[in-house]
Amino acid sequence: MRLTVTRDLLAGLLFLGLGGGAALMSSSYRFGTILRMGPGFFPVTLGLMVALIGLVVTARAIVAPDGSPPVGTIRLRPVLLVSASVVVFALLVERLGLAAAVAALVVVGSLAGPGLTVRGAVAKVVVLVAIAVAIFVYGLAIPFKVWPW
Amino acid sequence: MVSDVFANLATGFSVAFSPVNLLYCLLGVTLGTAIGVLPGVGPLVTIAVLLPLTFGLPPEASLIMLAGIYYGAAYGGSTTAILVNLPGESSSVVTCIDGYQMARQGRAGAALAIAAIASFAAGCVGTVLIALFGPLLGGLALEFRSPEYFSLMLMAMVLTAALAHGSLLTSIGMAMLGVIFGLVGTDVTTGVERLTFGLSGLGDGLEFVVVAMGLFALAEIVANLDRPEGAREVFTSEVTGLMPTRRDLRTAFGPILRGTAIGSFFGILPGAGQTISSFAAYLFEKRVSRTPERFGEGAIEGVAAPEAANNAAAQTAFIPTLTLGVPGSATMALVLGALMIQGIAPGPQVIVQHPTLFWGLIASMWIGNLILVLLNLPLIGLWVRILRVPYHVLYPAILVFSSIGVYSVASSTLDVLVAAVFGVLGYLFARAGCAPAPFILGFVLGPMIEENFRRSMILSRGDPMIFLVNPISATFLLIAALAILAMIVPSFRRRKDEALQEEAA
Repeated sequence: MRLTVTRDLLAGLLFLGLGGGAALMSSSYRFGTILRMGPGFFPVTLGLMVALIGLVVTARAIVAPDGSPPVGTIRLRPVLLVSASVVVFALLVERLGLAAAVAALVVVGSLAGPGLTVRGAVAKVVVLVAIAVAIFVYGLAIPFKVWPW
Repeated sequence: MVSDVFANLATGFSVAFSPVNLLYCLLGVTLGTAIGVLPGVGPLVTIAVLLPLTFGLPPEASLIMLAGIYYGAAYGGSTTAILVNLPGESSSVVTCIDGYQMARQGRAGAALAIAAIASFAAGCVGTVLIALFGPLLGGLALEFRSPEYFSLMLMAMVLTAALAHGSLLTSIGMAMLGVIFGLVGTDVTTGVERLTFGLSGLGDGLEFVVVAMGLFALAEIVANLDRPEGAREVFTSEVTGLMPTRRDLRTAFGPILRGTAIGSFFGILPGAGQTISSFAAYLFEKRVSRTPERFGEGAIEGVAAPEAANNAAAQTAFIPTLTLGVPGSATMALVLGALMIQGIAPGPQVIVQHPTLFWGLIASMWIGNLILVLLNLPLIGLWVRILRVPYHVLYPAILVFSSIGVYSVASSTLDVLVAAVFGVLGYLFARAGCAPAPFILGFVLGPMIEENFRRSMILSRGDPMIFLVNPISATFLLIAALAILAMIVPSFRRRKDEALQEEAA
């Protein structure tokens, strides 16, 4: 029997991981009693409940794989490049300034989508840097470091 | 009492009618609509992206602009629903049904105009209702203690989970996960730093805008890029005859009134009031219509009633958000987050402590609605042109605005990195069919839920029965239990699934 990754299976595993992880991380905080709840009471209890839901959903997905549609192929390119573009922005904005960070964000982000040409990329960079600087630096007067120098 | 209301409204209008605030309202409505009509950009993303623009303003101006953005975004969403058959959020799913059919018959202009008129009429009534009942509920809320608050928030989360797409169990799991993420940061009672991965930047907890931006804006971009392009039909060339005929107006009059009544009632319920009300209004119109067979084939009542209901509910949803500090929807949670950024803790005190702000906001809601009608009737042609912007041009711009927005909240690069993490997480949730709305509500309510549970337990010396003994609290829990039961009954669930299937697609 081949295991198809259904939506339910992915959901169940996410819940197991996140709920279990939260409970585990919180197990070092004092639990307390219901009358005097420690900092661990809520996260541990909820984490275990989420993990339990995850267990039920995972089990259901394995026993009855027809119960939910398959996840389908996950294309890594959009998700990785979109998050990478945001990370690049975060790393550059304080070091090289807003203009460079926006330019890098637009270039990396544009790689995530279809139909990118060099001319299109240059146009997007120029327009978006101009808009960003105009709105946030001049319009809203947010004190940004704009240029690398 | 009634004269009080008018005196209060007068205060509000004197605040909102200052030329500067009026300008911010206009700016908010314009930007909200312009961003809100973009396909693949729901009202929530619109608000999240535009929110940082309001940060630098004084509190009144900031909230007034926010109210403008809120209405603009909602109306922009309806425009997309009618022209592209693409609902931006669950409450505009019903508008798609007949609105899109009207567009296909070349009556997009009439559909858009009726939507704007219905929204305005409902908004007028909603504004009066807030002015009447806001202080009343605020007074009632002063009596609320922690057991009532805990049960109220629990009810809001259960209702949201019950009405979200996907299975009830995963939606409840999402709400709980939201609460856990809401606990990140320093525990107020014990001072212990929880779930921060040792990052001192997370000591104050995760910023709401950061989570919303990642979970909604970034995840939505990825999901849109994942989808093959070009499957959409846009009816853009035929939008000419804008004005509805006199017969249209006469037909729509009753549905607008009834939709407003239904929406105002459900909007006060925290938790998915907007979705219920637009569905309820649509089904009700179909029931009372002498020609129910026209519904689904482009009946103007099918646009007027849900749009009125939707907007009335959007308006009355401010009542619990402002007076109880308990947001009823993900969008309201964003509004609440904006209030907190302005240093205002919503709750019963807000009306007394910040009267100009409260009444100014209410007045500006009405003005926002008015500007919406005046602006949209002539500008529909422009929105249609924006609709045609290809997505590969659009999404880098959304990325830029989101990233700068997140960064400008606290000038923190860590926040931007966290948003990227939530983007990935949000994408995985979307692929797993888990609705983000219960998560975000749980996230906002998390610390409050814990705090009120803790206090209730101290009050009752550790006896959980306190939630059932207290009559108001017991009523909230009963409503929550009924919602869960209703979702387990197959016929109800099937109806919800049918109604939401387009959104899940």
